[in-house]
Amino acid sequence: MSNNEHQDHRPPTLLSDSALQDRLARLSRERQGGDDLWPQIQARLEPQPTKRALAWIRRAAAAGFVLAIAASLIINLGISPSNDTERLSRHAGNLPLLSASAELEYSGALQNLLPLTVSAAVAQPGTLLADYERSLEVVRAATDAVRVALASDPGSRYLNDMLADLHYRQLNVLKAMARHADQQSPEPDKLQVGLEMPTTTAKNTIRSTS
Amino acid sequence: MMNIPISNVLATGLLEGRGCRSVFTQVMGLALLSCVSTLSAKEVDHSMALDSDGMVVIKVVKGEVRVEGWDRSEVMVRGEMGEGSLELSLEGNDQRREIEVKIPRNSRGVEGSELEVFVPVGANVVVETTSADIIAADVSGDLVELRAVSGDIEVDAGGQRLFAHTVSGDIEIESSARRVDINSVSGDIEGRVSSEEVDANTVSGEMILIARKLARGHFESVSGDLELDTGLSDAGAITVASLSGDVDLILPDNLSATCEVESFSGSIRSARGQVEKAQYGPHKTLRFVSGDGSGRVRVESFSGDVRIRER
Repeated sequence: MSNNEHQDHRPPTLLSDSALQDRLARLSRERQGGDDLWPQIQARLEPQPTKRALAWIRRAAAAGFVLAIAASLIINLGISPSNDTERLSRHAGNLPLLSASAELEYSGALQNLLPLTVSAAVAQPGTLLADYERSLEVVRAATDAVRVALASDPGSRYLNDMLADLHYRQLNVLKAMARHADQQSPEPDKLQVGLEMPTTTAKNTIRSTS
Repeated sequence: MMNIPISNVLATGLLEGRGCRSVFTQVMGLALLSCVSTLSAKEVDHSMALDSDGMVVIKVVKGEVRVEGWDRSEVMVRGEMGEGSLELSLEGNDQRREIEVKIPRNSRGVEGSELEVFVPVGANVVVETTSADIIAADVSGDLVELRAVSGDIEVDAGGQRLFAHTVSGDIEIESSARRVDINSVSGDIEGRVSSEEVDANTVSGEMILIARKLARGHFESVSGDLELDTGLSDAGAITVASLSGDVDLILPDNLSATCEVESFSGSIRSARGQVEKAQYGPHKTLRFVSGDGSGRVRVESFSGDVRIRER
C-alpha cells in the first residue's frame, strides 16, 4: 500500500476559517492540462499480446512445423499408417501366410512408432532430417522394388525375407530419428518406453515369421 | 578466453576517471563473456576406474568419437566438447561407465564434439552417435556395438560380437570378432573379416568384403553391388541375396561345397558348372559340387547379374 493511499484514509483535520481561506488562496486558480494523454490511453485500450498469447503463438508455430514435417513424412514418403495398412493388406493376400502376418505386424509397429517420429522430427537439425528423409526414400524405393519383384515371383523365399528385412530397416530409421530426440528429451525414459516396444515386437515377429 | 580479474577492471576504470556506469558495463560484459564460454568449445580430460571386462557406453550426437583399447583398468576421456554443448555427463561405477555429451533440446547450431576415449582392451563397448563418426581400434570385449546414423564407422576390433550399424554412413571394418553384424541403408561397406559368422546387409550401399573363414555368412543387398571374396570352414554355409545389385563372388579353388545360384532375370556367369535357362521366361540356375560338397553356397538374385569366380 502506498503513502498516498494512507493519506486518503486519514481522518480530516479540523482547520480554522482563516487557515482554510489562507490555504484556498494559495491554490492556483487555473489548472493547465498536460500533454495530450489520449494516445497513451488509446494504446492501453488496444489489446497487446501478453506473454501467454506469445506462448500460444510459439506453440502454434511449433505445431505448424510439426505438421509440415508430418506432411513431408506422410505424403512424400508415403508412410501413412492407413496407406500402408491398406497396401499391405492388399499385398498380404499375395504372400504366403507367414509373410502376410509379418506385413500386418509391421503395419501395427509403424502405427505405434510414427507419432513418436513425427514429434521427434522437430528436434532434428535440417541437414540431419534431410538425411533421414533420403534414407527413408531409399528404403521405400527398395521396398517397392521388392514388391514388384514379388509380383513376378511370389513364391520366392529370399524376396519375402528381403521385404521383411526392409520393413525392419524402415522401423529402425524411424527409431533412430526418435532416439535422437530422446537424447534431448527432458523425460527420456518416458519416450524410450514408447520407442522400444513396437520395434522390438516388429523385429522379433517379422524376422521370426519370414 | 581472457582471464582478467574483475578488481583490475574496476581499478583501471576508476583510475582512468571513467564513471561507475562505464565500469559496470565492463563488469557486465565480462560476466556475459564468461556465460558464453560455458557454451563454447570446452576441453575435457577425465579418468575413471573400470573393470577389465566392464562396459562403456558412449553417446555423442555430432563430431567424432575415437575409442581405443589399452591395458589399464580405467577409462580416460579427453578431447573437446563442441560449442553449444551443455555438459559431459559421466555416470556409473567400476562395472559400467556411461559417457555422454549432453546437448540442448534444440540442437541446431551445436558444434561437433571431438572425443578420444581409452578403454580396457577387454571391455564391452557401445557407441551411439547421430552424425558423429566413430573410430574404434584395439577393442576386444565380448560385445562391441557401434551405431551411427549419418556418421561413418571405422573399426578394427576382435572379441566375440561386433555390431556396426549405420543408416547413411559408410562402414570400414577390419575384424577378428567371432561374430560380426554389419548393416547400412545407403552407406557403403568395405573391409576384411576373419570371423566365423558374418551377417552383412545393405539396401543401396556397395559392399566389398573379404571373409575367408566363414562357418556361416549371409550377405544381402537390395540395389547395391556386392563384391565378396570368401572362404568356408568345414561344412560352412554362405548365402548371398540381391534384388538388382550385381554379385561378384570369389570362392577358393579348394572349396568343398555344393553351390546353387539362381537369378530371375539377371545373368549368371561362372568358371564352374553349367548355367541352365528355364524353358519359359528369363529364369536361370546354376548348380555344381566342389570337393566333397560338405559346405553350402547359395546365391539368389532377382535382376542383378551374378558372377562366380575362383581364387
